[in-house]
Amino acid sequence: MARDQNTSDQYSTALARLVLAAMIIMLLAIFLFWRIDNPRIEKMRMAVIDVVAPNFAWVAIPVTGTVNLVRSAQSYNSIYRQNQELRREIQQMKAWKEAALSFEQENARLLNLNKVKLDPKFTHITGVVLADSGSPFRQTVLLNVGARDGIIDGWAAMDGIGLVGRISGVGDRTARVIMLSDNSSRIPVTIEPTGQYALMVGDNSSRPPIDFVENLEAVRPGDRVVSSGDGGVFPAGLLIGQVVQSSSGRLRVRLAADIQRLEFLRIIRHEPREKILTTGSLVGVPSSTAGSQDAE
Amino acid sequence: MLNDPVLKLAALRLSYFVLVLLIVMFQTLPFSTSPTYFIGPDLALLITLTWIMHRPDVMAPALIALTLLLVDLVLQRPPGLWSLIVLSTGMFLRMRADGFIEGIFLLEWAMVSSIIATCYLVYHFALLVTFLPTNDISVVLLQALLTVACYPLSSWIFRRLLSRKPISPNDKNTSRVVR
Repeated sequence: MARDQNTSDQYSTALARLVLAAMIIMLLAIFLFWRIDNPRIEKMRMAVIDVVAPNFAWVAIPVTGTVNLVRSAQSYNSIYRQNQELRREIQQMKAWKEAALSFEQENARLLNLNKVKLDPKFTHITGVVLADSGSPFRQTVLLNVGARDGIIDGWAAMDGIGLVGRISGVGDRTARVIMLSDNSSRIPVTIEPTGQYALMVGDNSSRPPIDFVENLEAVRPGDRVVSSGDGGVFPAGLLIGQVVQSSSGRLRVRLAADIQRLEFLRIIRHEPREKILTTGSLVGVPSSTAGSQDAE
Repeated sequence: MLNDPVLKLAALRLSYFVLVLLIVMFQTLPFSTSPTYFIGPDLALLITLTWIMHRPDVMAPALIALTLLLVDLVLQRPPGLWSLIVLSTGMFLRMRADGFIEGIFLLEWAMVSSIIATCYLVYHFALLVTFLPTNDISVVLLQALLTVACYPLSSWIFRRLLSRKPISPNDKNTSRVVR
């Protein structure tokens, strides 16, 4: 067992032990501090990610490019089989209808994406997805827009059709979106057409269950689920999805947004509803204050 | 090649840091953003333990702590907890690493496996004790098993890369380790 004396000494000295103790205390302190004062450490976390994530983009480009290339090559491989399937399906009117609908949705999404402007007067900002959570226990994505683009915690993120999640954690150049399917996601929803209020609870599955429904019997699979705007976090009426019933009989939501592979997300600017502080100002708004209210 | 032992040590430390950071960054690439049940081994943990077994002199506590803290931050875990656990168990392993260098591999594997199991157990109970949401136990178990299963491969890869030859011919102070 011959080995280097220098190095073996290096990690058994008193100094090394001191460093080890200091490291253990530091980590423990960070964890306890995070448990007690979560927002401050989370802000630190976003600041660190803000530095790390955009710098990694140049490494990511060739990798994602290669993966996309392989994927398209695979799809060329299966093109004959797909063709056969399409020939069968083409007989059916339903297939035509679905194709037309999906093209319409895609068109709507692309049209919306074309309106990208980083101007605070516009109602949404479009961001590119930089990274996902990297672990199977969290469902989050990282966007390339942040505080410098005016992003604020709590805003809704959509993919052009349906709600995807909300902003939670804003760095200067990046922002994290907690997706509706994440374990910690709780969104107040309205189930149309009956107008039932409920809570959609993320559970790391692609179809989040709904809880706390007022009247379960009034809800049927196929009902539309939209955000209710309770709590003032989200604007009301954002499309979330459709109610489906799982095999165990539980009501779940099939999301309207295509969360399979997110590339762009729209962040909806949402100013909390104006609070009415005085009783008299509602009746007959003076012309001088009307202008300032518009500007807000 | 780097002949200065201090420089070589620093280069190895830097390469550990960069390797772990790159792996974590590739994990976060948004190839699929829908919930998935596919799960891989915890590569950062695997690499840390393998390097501790092969090069205990490289793996300084500060290096492990700072690298894994960064991983905690990027992967949205409670900051500090996982790195604290891996650091403490890793240091425990490091004290015993030298005895395994020329020992039987099965023994080494069993040791590392028990360390991995301890890490996951302590982490789970720490989450319970601090009233944090725990992860799905079956998924965690699968990840721990995969990490254990991947250790021989990782050990085989890094044994070549990290072989501990005498750093330079004029480095005479090689002797038996006193423990």
